[in-house]
Amino acid sequence: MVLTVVCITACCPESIETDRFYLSEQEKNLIPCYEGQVIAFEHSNGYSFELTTVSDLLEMRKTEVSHCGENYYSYQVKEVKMESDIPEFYISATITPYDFYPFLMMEINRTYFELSVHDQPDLDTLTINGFTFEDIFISENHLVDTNLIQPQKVFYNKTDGLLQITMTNEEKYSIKK
Amino acid sequence: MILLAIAFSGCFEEDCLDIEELDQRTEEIKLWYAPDSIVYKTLVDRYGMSQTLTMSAWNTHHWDDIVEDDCGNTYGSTYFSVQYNTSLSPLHFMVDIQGSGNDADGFYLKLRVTNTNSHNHKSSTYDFVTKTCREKNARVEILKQTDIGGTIYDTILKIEFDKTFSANDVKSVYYAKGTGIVKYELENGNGFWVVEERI
Repeated sequence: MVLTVVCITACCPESIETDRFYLSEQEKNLIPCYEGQVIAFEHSNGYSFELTTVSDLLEMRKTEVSHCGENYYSYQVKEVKMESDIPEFYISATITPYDFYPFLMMEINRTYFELSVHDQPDLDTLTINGFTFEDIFISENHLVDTNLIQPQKVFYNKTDGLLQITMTNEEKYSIKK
Repeated sequence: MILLAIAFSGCFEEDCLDIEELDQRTEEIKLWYAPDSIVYKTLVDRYGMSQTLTMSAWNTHHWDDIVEDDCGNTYGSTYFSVQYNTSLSPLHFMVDIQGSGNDADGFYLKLRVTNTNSHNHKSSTYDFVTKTCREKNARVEILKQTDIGGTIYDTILKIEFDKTFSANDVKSVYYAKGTGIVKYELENGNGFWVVEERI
């Protein structure tokens, strides 16, 4: 048994990094948030709260290797996590190099969104709480169970980041500038 | 010494099972089961923000003859469980209700609360016979004719945990007899209660 394990280990060729992807400065700026930043938000019924950036991470990651000796890619990731107490939001925004994965990923309390931030914006302007934002990207999660009150759509721009979350029951959580 | 103790205890006669009382208690705990006709409950918090409480995994089971006395009587055990998830907050609730002729199990409602983000979990067991909490980690209270979200609930078991792990940790849970969870409160003072039920 021990011999078999030793043999398998010894026979397994070393994984090799075949490519490496770095974020450009422009891509890093697609998530305009920094640790400690506090952004004012408001629920559609008027309740105000703060969304705090609790971490701002830039690191190299490797693609998963599921078979012995399989090669891998390395890629740089910027991941920002934001939280609020009431309502209880856990939000993460992740950007990887365009050539590796061309979307900005956003997770809001276990609901996932892909924002095509490298393409043309979906809207020229959007007015939220009396302030007009420009170049708006929209992502809708079509897999969300509409029986549940969950995030369904997010509105985003490159200057301010997350602007609005629309829920399946039409309630909204919006930035307040 | 041990032999003496065994011989001595062997001389005791156990009381016969009180079948009538056990039947009565079994019927009583069944009244606490949450109906499987409701799946979605709309919750609103004290600030008017909504989410959904989803009920799932109903399970009922009955075992015959799990205990037998010296008088020729036998008695079984009845079990019910249901689970709840919140659609926005990272919470999972599990409720077990059991009634058994075996004294060690007895008649109880056990509530387990898990924060699926932090994986913190806690549980408390209300004993229908002693009318107390078995673990001493919570205070239990039976509330009568209580208005929650505009609905009057005849009987509610309120379980209030002594300890919380964070501001968003669950402090207390309200379980209505025959309905299920109708309200919970957090350490930070916010509370969620049912305002609508859907199939």
